[in-house]
Amino acid sequence: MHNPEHSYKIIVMGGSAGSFSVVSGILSKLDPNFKIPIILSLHRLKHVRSGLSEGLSLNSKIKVVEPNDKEKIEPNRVYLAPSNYHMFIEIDGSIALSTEESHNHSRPSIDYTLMSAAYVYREKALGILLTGANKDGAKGLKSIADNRGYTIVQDPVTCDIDTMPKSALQLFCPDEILSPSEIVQFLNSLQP
Amino acid sequence: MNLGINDIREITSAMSAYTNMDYTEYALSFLKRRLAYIFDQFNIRKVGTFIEALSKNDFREHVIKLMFVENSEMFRDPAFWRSLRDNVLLNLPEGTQNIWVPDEPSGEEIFSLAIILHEMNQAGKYNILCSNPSTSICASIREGRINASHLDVSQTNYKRLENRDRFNEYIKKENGTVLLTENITSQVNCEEFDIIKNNKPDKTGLIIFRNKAIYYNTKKAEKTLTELYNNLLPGGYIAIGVKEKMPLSINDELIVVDKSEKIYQKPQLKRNSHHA
Repeated sequence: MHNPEHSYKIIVMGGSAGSFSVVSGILSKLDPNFKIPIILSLHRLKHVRSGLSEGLSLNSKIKVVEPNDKEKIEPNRVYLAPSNYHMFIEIDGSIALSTEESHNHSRPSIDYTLMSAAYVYREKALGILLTGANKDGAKGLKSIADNRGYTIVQDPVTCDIDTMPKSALQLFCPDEILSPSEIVQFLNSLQP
Repeated sequence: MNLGINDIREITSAMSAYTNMDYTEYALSFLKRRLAYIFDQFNIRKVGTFIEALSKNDFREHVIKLMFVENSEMFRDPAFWRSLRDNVLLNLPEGTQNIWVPDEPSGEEIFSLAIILHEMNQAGKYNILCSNPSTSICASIREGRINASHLDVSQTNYKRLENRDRFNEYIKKENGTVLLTENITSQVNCEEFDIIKNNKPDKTGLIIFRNKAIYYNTKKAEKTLTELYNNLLPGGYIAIGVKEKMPLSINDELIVVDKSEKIYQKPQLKRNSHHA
């Protein structure tokens, strides 16, 4: 279970079909001073480079950016994986992009981002898997759990499409299964 | 295969003893997953087995090939190619002999360029050159092979770029292999050399180096991009990936041709205004 004294250095949120409105809702209700960097790996159209970060920025209380490769991860920022790139976290805490092969028909792949966060941040990583229509993200979230990080799966009952959270639930038992409003509550409770 | 940092350092140190295998300045996150991928491909479970196998020429050639990340598709970022066509290809500096795509891993970038130049009736004017240290990659590019699994997205990109459906005119299929037609492959040269160590092609008016430096660490990325930039003719152009940055040390002197597509121009030589 979550220990309120435990501090996280990174939050990775992954989602696919139906996740835009969930993420947008979460970002709109976070404390504007929310310090922990949020890494977003959302499935998106490969050929549409703009629009998603702008859409999320409309209601977000925190600045949303699509980072360049090798950009340093800073607090109080949301980093959205650019279209047609995988997004990893480098060991020095910077963003590493890649055009390697699609994974689960996806680039960005949620698994890849979660796995790299698990490797770099271990028990300081918090992974959240939202609504989506394929199994990408399930193995990545499990790797966060395997490295003693904290894991949250969106309650399938609240999902537009529940394939993604159900895939994770078939693979392992996450720390929490929460609705979007409970996820917001949880995240805001992490603030000192 | 789960490789730790010490494993990676041991492996890259052993690899660097061989020609064209210095990966010591690559990004650690890339090395971790790419080496794990290669270990899986060869069903290798121990670091020592991999290092021992490096003594075999064939194995090294396979490893060099696999360390390159294939281009994801032809005409990736159609807006980039449109900008290149409209802003650059008819404005290459006087004296340009070469257009160069360094470290081309699978041909899609150079073939896209060759098709555009062909459609502009400009192909014969320049040596359309790509380079790669791998013998088998260069052989594949000379043959005009492209990855069949990228074909649909390449075709869609071409349609987005040209607003017409002529892509199939450049493609032929032979025994399950997808090849570019000869009128395109005959324009393309691939030479086997490493971009840092070997002599670079002179009289180069355009260098396309998109999404290659993302696999390097910061130091190597800056060093390589600076060397490529210095290799350009005055007034020449360099293009990098849309999520990459040129080194700060040369950023001030660059002329930005297209900010969002990351196309830059090297300034023309300044004429001496002091006359005797």
